[in-house]
Amino acid sequence: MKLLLTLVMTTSFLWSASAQEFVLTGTVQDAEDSSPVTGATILLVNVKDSTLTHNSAADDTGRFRITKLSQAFYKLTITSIAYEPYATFVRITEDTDLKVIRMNPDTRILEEVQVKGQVVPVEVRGDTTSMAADAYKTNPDATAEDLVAKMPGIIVNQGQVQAQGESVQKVLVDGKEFFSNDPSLALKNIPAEIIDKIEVFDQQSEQSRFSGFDDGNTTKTINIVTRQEMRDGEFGRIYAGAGTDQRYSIGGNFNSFDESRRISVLGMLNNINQQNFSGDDLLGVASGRSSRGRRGGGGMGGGSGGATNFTGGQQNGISDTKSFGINIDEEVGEKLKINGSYFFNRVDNDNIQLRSRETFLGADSSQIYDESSSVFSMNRSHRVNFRIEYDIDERNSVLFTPSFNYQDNNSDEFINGFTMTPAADTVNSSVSDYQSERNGFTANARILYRHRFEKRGRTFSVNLDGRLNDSEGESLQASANRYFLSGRSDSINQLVDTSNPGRSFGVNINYTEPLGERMQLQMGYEFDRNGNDSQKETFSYDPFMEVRQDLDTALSNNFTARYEAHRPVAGLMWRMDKLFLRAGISFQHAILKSEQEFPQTGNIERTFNNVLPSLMMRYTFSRTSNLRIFYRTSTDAPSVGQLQNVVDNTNPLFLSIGNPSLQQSRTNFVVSRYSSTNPDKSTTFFLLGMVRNTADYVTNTTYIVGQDSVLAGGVGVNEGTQISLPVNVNGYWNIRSLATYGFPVTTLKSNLNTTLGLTYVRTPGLINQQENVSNSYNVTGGLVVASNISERVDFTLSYNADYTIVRNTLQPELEDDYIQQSVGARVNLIFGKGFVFRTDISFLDYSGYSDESLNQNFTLWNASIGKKFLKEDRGEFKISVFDLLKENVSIARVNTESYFEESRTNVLQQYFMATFTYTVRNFTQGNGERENRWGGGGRPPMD
Amino acid sequence: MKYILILLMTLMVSGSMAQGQRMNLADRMDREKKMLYDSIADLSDDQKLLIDQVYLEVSSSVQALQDSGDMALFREKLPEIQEKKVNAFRDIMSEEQFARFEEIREQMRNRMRRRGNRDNQ
Repeated sequence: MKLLLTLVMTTSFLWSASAQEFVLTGTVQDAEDSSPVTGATILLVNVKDSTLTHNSAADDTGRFRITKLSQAFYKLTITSIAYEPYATFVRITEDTDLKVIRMNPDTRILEEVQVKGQVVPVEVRGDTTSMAADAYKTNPDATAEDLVAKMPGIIVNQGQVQAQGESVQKVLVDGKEFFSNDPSLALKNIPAEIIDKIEVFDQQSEQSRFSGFDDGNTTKTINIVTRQEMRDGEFGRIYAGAGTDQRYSIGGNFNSFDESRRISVLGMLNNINQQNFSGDDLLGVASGRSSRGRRGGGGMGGGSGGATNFTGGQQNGISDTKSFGINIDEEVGEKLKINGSYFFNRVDNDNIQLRSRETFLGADSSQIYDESSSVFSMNRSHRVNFRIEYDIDERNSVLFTPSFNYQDNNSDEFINGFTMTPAADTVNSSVSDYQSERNGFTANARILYRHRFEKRGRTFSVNLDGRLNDSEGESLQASANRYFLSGRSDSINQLVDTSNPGRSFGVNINYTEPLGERMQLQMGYEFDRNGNDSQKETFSYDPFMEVRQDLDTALSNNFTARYEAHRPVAGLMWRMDKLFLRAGISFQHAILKSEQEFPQTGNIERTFNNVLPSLMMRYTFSRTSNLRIFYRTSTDAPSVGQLQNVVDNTNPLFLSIGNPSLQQSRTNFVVSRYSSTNPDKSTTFFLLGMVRNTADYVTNTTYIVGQDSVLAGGVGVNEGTQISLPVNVNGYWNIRSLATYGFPVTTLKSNLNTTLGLTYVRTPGLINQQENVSNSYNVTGGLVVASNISERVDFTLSYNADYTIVRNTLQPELEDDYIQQSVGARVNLIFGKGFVFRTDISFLDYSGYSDESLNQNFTLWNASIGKKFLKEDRGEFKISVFDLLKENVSIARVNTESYFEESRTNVLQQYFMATFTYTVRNFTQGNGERENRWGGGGRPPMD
Repeated sequence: MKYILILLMTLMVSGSMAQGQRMNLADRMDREKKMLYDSIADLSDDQKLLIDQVYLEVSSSVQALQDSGDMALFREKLPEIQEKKVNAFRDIMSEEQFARFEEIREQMRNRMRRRGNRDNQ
């Protein structure tokens, strides 16, 4: 205040009515030794309008210069690591030189440095990109997900979050786990208003973080940093809504945070396709029918961002969801930290789908398969996770992370499909009724012991990992099939019992040794052992008597696969001023044993020796830009399902069979990331480049049966039926690049984020023993205008185009290009005395699909009007409508090496709903400013 | 109900007392500041801090002039001080906020004039 007085007194009160632009200069020095504070961040905020900000950084001499200032009072904030923040007011009426500004060194720990009013939107520190929530203003009801969607380089699409071109796998809250590693739970439940910063980084493994030796084993992570003043208190909300067509939505969350303990409880019940969690699918069933009866192929060909399927922004089918969870984080004394969570969910899903698949046979021939299906399924899962960290003393610590997941699933499916030639002659048809019950669990425990020697940089750690899992299932299948080419027909009535127990064990021993000040050596040994059994017993079944009959040996099999790998590892890390280098090499000796016990016995044992190099480099050009390049090699062992030599006739027109002679596949992977921010102009630029090449890629070989015959083992096949088998083929490539550029648009008081991505995927496959290579080229471009006006006016406008060109070498003449475009607007306006208007419009346009009926466009329009009431606007009553225009549809497309498939699924359509929401905000140290503005309220149920 | 009656009576008494006396400069500035804060709800904390500071300086300058006892100098300097204050506010407030401030000043001036006329009658 003393400083303020001086400044206001000495600043001239004279006013001149010019619209001139002025310059502010000054020099930042250390108060103790008068050395320049190089790189200090200078922030100048116009007090007339806090969105008008100017940024700069002090140069090597500590000098800074800010231009284009209009006449006004400004709040000047100077921050630099290891200095106490400096803040004052400056009145600019002419070109001003502040001369020397002295900063006091900060003796407190860095975490405590907190500067109010600092709005540097994006900062890059090492591998971390940090984005200030204050630079992306959201409405009082916004969640963390709404906030991150406004930030540059982050794309939120149907609950999936991509940051800087890669999928986010983990979301932490203040560095702590929140419901283990389910990204959705944190993003959909933490309110935006308690967030100070969003950090995006590649989190290293626990062992790397401890030893300081980056082993390249990273997870794309978002860390939500909460506001200091909101870390002690309670917050949450409850809501209940009822609508037309018996739609309902009830739920809530409650969080109680204090310095040593954090408890979060949440739950929801609804039949409007809302889920606050990510699916966790042990049984591989939750994705529905598409996962069944189609083993083998390593991928869907597209890869993320490539020619993947996209839907109209909602889940497939209509779901009735129930979920409940609790997360506890507690620090018991200084040595013990416990984090635990339990989460339960049940989803009843009703899914009606039409699919059309075109399999490439030759230059001018194809097989077309059309299917209609109706699937009703119930999926239940329980997840328990713990993370217990105990610091024995300063040098020794133990981390124990046990987890247990249980899932059960019932489904009832009715499928009607037929295959045609392009001339519309029917080849075959099948009508199936399929009922199944499955359940499974995974129990996992990991214990990590870490020891730090007296010598800095010398560490020792041991990680032990154990897993037990099992899944069992019983299914009943009744199919009636007709084969038009031979005029035959047959039927299947069978009962299939499956059991898939597995266990794995891993050890990782790691030692690091410093070599001088700048280098570190790492030596280690890794061992993994994986064992999986797969038992399948198929019985013929009498549907009238409801009894199982004879075992069908041709469709039954008992198979075991073991994979064991030994890896001695060595690495060298070199840290220079601007360059950070790490080179690693490991030698892997792996043994793959597979054993068939039934119907015949047979063993296959193979060994693989691989040298696996890796390299990581980070070059820091300046405080605001750096380049990271990362190269690694890895191997993948085939799964037990891919190896098991048994026919799967779940879809009688598409048989699949395992291949016990599969090899491991080997992947080379290079990724480079360049980030640059300009604090002066508040711009951010990010560039990702990625190349992945896989040798011995596991793909499918597909045969179209030319004449009725019998497979080895005695399974009869009819002309026109497809059989697929996984095989190893070289030449899988996936090349991606993504650029994002974000900048402020001051006239709109908004931030504009642009994205451009290019993807090329080359997927090899075999069809009727001819090689087919599917080349898919995808261009995606997007534009997001995210308002940064106030809590009362919050909008996000977006445009996205996704253009894909697919060329198959078997059918070089066929041009297959398709495009999806979407335009979206999300607006949240607060007006009058607590009225809230929200609307959410998406216009989607599909063109280029082979099925003409899919080339359509539609608008999904949701809106609501609400009134806030009660003290601090804690209550809200609102009326909302989902899909006002009744146009909602879901369209998807998948490209693979042997076919492409387009589908349309039933979706939720128009309903109206009345909802009451009550918000809890109670922060003991809360600064009244934020706390009293808005109590919060409900979010529209339609997102 | 009893409390409400007492409250109403207290307000009426204080109101009639206020009408009975002519406000001095310091009171007028306090009143202006209060009206300003009441009618411009969207002032930020930083703006309020600066406005408080301006009022503080204006009142100390006025006080110094009054203490000098030189009425002619007071009459000459007062408009200058007022103008400096207005100019400072122009640099603190957004256009809309400043326009509202001008309205408040106009209201106060009108009220002064009316009161002046009444007192002269």
